[in-house]
Amino acid sequence: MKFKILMALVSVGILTACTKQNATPTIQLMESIDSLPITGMKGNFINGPFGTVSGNAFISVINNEKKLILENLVSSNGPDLHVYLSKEMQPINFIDLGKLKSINGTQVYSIDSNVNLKDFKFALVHCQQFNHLFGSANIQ
Amino acid sequence: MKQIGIWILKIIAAGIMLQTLYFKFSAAPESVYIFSTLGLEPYGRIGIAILELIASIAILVPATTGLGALLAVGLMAGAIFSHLGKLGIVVMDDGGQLFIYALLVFISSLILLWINQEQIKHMIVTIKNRFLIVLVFMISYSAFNGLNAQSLTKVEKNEIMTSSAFSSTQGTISLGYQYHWQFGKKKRWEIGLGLRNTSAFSSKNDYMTAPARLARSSTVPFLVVFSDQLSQNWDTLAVQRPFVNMLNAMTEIKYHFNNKLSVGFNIDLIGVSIGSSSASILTTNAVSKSETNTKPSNFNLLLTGDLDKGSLNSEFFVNYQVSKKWGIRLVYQYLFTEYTTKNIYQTAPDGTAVYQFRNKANNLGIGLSYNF
Repeated sequence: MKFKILMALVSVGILTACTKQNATPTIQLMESIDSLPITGMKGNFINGPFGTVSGNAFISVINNEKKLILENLVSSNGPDLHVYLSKEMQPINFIDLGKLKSINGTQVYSIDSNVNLKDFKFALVHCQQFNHLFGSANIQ
Repeated sequence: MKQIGIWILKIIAAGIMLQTLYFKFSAAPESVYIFSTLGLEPYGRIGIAILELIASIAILVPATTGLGALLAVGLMAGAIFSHLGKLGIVVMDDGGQLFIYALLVFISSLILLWINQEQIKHMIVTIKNRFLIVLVFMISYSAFNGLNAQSLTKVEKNEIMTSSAFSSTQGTISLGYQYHWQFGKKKRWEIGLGLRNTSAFSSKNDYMTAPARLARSSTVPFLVVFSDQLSQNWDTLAVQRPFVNMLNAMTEIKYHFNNKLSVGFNIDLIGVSIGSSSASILTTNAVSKSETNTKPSNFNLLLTGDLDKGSLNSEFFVNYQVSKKWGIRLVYQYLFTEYTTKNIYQTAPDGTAVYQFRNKANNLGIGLSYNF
């Protein structure tokens, strides 16, 4: 009996460990960007080798508070999708802005104020776990 | 008021132990009689006296009261069981005085242990010491009690053991073989030497700066385990799909309470690791660098604490013998895995480049043993 309880506990452990899948939410996001002044820095998303991404990327700066705005983003879904600001199109040196909030809609990401935006020209949607690029926008 | 009460408890616990030490060290007739009856004369008498001296001092020093109390609880539990067993409550017409003393020390130490549980908990969450704590308790308890019970039936010398353990971030499977030697007067202790393969896998895991000179405030073997963690020097390497397969020589120490129940712990000593290369991301001050070909460190060597090289498994277990051949065990596993980066590295405060990163995992699981 004790053995069965133990087995049950272990099975629960295994299941919760394995079901921790990281698919990105699909619900349409409409984060407000009206109050955010857009700088001249912007770009359009193009598809990467492992996904399809469309939409616009903007940089907003108020009082040294830097933000990346992804407007009308539409991305194919995948595991562990993150938003990067990267020096290269295929990320080697980059800043991880966090998980992609949704594969659909307008969304805002905070950027550390110490980041020199001139160095990080690419906004990316990147599958971190498998190192697969889904889409990139060259911000100029 | 509370402080006064605590000091009274400390004085009762340490005072009684220190006072009886004199009789133990000077080989007073009562002491010699007790330890001869238990079959522990003279090493048990002197050994226990030394442990009691350590416990008394530790209880009186505020920073170590909890540990001292733990040691005293173990020692006194052994003493009380001895009195209830072979020794008898009344020893050499003392009217049960020694038994009452043991009870008093036991109760005061238990209260002190409860009051100072944070000390123990702190050590338990931060370091590998949980093994040491359990070992201290096992030794202190068995020092008194274990040897007065019946001899153990002979156990088989060869053992194949397997275990599977998990935490929220990783899973492991191990398989090993070891050869045992029984020792001690009643053959209750067992020491083993063998070979074990452990595979650890997870979907994504964080690895921290490995070298002890950066991770810890001391690099002296053993002391390193107790030294402060210099987390300001740590950078995080996120290995995306870790899989480490380590084949290591290992050793095990086991104590049998009776023919069915035993506890023990084992630890890997030296060996090699193989595993697939993985993408990994090293983050320093919010800026990340990535590479695709990070591999498990190849060479494993136990040097204690963060001085360790490579990937090493260690397990604390409680084993229940279902039959003479088969045992089932509950396993608490403390696992080090290490990855070595190729192109990306951390620049340490002293200017050197760091390529080794370590993950320390606490996993729980079950295991099987087969003796033949």
